[in-house]
Amino acid sequence: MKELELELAGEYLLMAAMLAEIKSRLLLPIFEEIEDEEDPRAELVRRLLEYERYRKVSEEINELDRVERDIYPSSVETGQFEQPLILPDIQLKELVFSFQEVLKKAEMFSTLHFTKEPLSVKERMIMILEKIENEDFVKFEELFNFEEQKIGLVVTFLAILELMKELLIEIVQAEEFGTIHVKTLIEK
Amino acid sequence: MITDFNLKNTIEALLLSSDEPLSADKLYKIISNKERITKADILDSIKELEDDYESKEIEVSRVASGYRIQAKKSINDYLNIIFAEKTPRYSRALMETLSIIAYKQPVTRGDIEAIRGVSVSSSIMRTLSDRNWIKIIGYRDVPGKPAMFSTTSEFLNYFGLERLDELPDLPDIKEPQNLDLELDDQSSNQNKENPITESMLN
Repeated sequence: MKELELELAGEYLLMAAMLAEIKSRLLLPIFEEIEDEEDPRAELVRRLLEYERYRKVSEEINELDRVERDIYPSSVETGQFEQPLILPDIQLKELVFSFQEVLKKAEMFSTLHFTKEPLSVKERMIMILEKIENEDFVKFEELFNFEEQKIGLVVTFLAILELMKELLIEIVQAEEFGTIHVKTLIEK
Repeated sequence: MITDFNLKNTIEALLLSSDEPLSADKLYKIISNKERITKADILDSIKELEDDYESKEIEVSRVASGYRIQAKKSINDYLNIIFAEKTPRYSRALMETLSIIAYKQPVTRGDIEAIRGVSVSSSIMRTLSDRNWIKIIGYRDVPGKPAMFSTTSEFLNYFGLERLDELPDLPDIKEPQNLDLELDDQSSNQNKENPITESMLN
């Protein structure tokens, strides 16, 4: 052992001590009165048996049909479709344009609201994630609540940018000037 | 756009073209973009597809993530020849680790170590994660905040299962009543199998 592996050494010592304890107990003469004392080997046996259950079942699982050995999913070549699958990169200005439309729409709702809402980008990020969690694609506009004031819309926009930066969402636009969709990148 | 739209043929093509199984919900979402259909139509068409395949050597199989089209087992003898070199092999240690995660999830590395009696190999955990069979679903609220692992639907897909309860039952091994008798019987074959005793000997 070149390095000092305390954890491993500790495990060995514990097991050695346990075996020594078992051995010494077995060497003691047995008196009838202390009948109900547990067999010192029981704990070790219990652990061995617990392991044995998983060892056995892992052999069964190993025998299950599996892809790459017993199951062969069929597929057809889809090479000819690969071209359109390359989605155009979205320029930041397109996002900004899209956001401007959101603002324009919001103006229609901009009657008099004066209540101040405490808004946090972090919180908005979570709200967006929750909203798109179970959807494949959500329209960019749908993430905005048009009844909010401008500041609320800005917070939502910042939250989207932040989520993009952290690679938690993906933004796609299938065609030029088409609808922008937002998609979660979090594994379910 | 598509003239003479045929739902059954469309579903067939989608299942064949997709790299992953597709659920009825997903098929519905994809197709209802263009065509007026209901979810029940999807299920009906899948049933029709299954009937069509009865006379063929492929079948529609239902696994955790949805439906996929696969070869029937009857032609595995031929397929095994084609794919012989691509069949990965997994070590006993990896299968045991995977089994413990599957049956005891959510588990931490410590839980796995307690059962196997040896420390969990990082490379096994990496292989299992790389294959997308296990994932971290959270952190246990104890000192050190160890990660808790669970299996994924890709794991079930791989083994052709739809749900976890389709896994073989975990065998119940009775604790021996009289250790003196039982240990004499078993000691010879258990010693070489168990990592706890293995590590003792090394």
